[in-house]
Amino acid sequence: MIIQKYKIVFAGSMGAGKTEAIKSLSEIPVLATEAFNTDDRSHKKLNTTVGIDYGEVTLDDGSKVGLYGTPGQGRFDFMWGVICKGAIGTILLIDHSLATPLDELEYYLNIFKQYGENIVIGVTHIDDDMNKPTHQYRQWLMERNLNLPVFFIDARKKSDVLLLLETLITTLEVKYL
Amino acid sequence: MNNQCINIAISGLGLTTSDDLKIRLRKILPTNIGINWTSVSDQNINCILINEQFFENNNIQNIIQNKNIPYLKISKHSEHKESAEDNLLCIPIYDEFTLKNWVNIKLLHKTEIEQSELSQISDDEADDQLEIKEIDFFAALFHHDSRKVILNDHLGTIAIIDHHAHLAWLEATREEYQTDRSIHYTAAVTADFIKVSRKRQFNLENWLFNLIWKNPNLITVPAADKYYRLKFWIQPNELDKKLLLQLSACFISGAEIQHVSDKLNIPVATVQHFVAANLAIHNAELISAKESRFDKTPSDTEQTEEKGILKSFFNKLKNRFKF
Repeated sequence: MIIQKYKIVFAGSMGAGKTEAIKSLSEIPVLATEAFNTDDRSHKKLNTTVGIDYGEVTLDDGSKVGLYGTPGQGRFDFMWGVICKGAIGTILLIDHSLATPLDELEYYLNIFKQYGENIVIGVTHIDDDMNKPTHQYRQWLMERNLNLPVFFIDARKKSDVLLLLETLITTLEVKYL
Repeated sequence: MNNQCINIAISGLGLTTSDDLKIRLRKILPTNIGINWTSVSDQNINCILINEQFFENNNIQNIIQNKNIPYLKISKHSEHKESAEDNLLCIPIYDEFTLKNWVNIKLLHKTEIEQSELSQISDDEADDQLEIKEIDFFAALFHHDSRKVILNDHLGTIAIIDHHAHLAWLEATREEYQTDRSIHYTAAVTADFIKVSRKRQFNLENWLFNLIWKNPNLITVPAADKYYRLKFWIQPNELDKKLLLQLSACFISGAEIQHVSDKLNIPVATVQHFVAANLAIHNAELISAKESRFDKTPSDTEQTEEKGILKSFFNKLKNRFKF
């Protein structure tokens, strides 16, 4: 695995769009480790990530920022701590169309909060389930006194993924400068 | 410029055809003329777009003759023998010439006569004459007795909101965040839903925040020496993304308006308007100075050096992604 000095982690539920999000930003072809999805109770997608997705961007001075996508299935959770160590922040993607997206949010947040506090949440597949209110995510966070940014996005759109990334950076900038 | 709104009824047409006609008419009509999309049962209709097959219907004929209003028959004939003079438009529309002609000859001619009876005032003058809205005007939307509320202004319907489900459905042919001090609201009834598009629904807080944000002279603002804290991050519109993220990042920790203005080097009026828009959607609370956490990190030499490294890194990241 390539470990860069600067890292941004993409985490979240299976099928939420982590691989697509990395593809939209990466300047190299994403090293994806997709396999046939045998867990169709969790998600109906045909393929799913079983290792780590890796993409990267190069800054003006030549330094690289690694974009790491964690596998969505819980049985790969032993990798998450390694990937998150020293990361700039985590972009947590949650699939709104899942039966219990708040449970997913709670599960991933509880884990990734241990590795760093700079987390931005992107809720995807909003149009796939218009009956569930989008406000539930804010309400859930407010009830737990968590003031993390949560935005409603399409992971295939570069501008939407950039919004999450810009929020990660702005949060740090305002906090430390 | 005038302060006029036309009530247009569309009847007997499918959703796709109706939406297509609405969008085309909105583009053809001058922007200072508002449109209220309505039904034939509306007592105040100014114009009817009717499926040709239902044109001879007694009810439709009564409305047209009694009210003496312009009408446009919509036909699916393949021969495309359309004519503005004959009030006939064929679909699908390959060329907007007939529709534009009909608007100019029949619709605008008609409304010009009506306009001459009205006093002519500019939009800006009209807006200045109207009182600036209090923050509570918008905040009260969330406590309206009816869970579904329709918002209008002098250009017609803006949106219908559901403050229980935190949703908004917009009038599809208007700009998303366009309004002025003539904005008002009332309980929505089922028939009102013809005026908005149900194809896409918006998060209420995101849409209402951006509506207020995009109209700086709409509401009163809080004092610059007050401290506020945001409850959640509002999703910014694309154009003001950078500024709105910066302001949100400051106020999510609790901050004084003047301090944020100084730190970010932006006009205090902009920061006041940002807080006002958040107060209007119940997303900000007044706090004491000691509760503020913004800009509290101590500055010693070691930290200054670290800050320099961080600042350089953030700038490289921002350059790379063109933030």
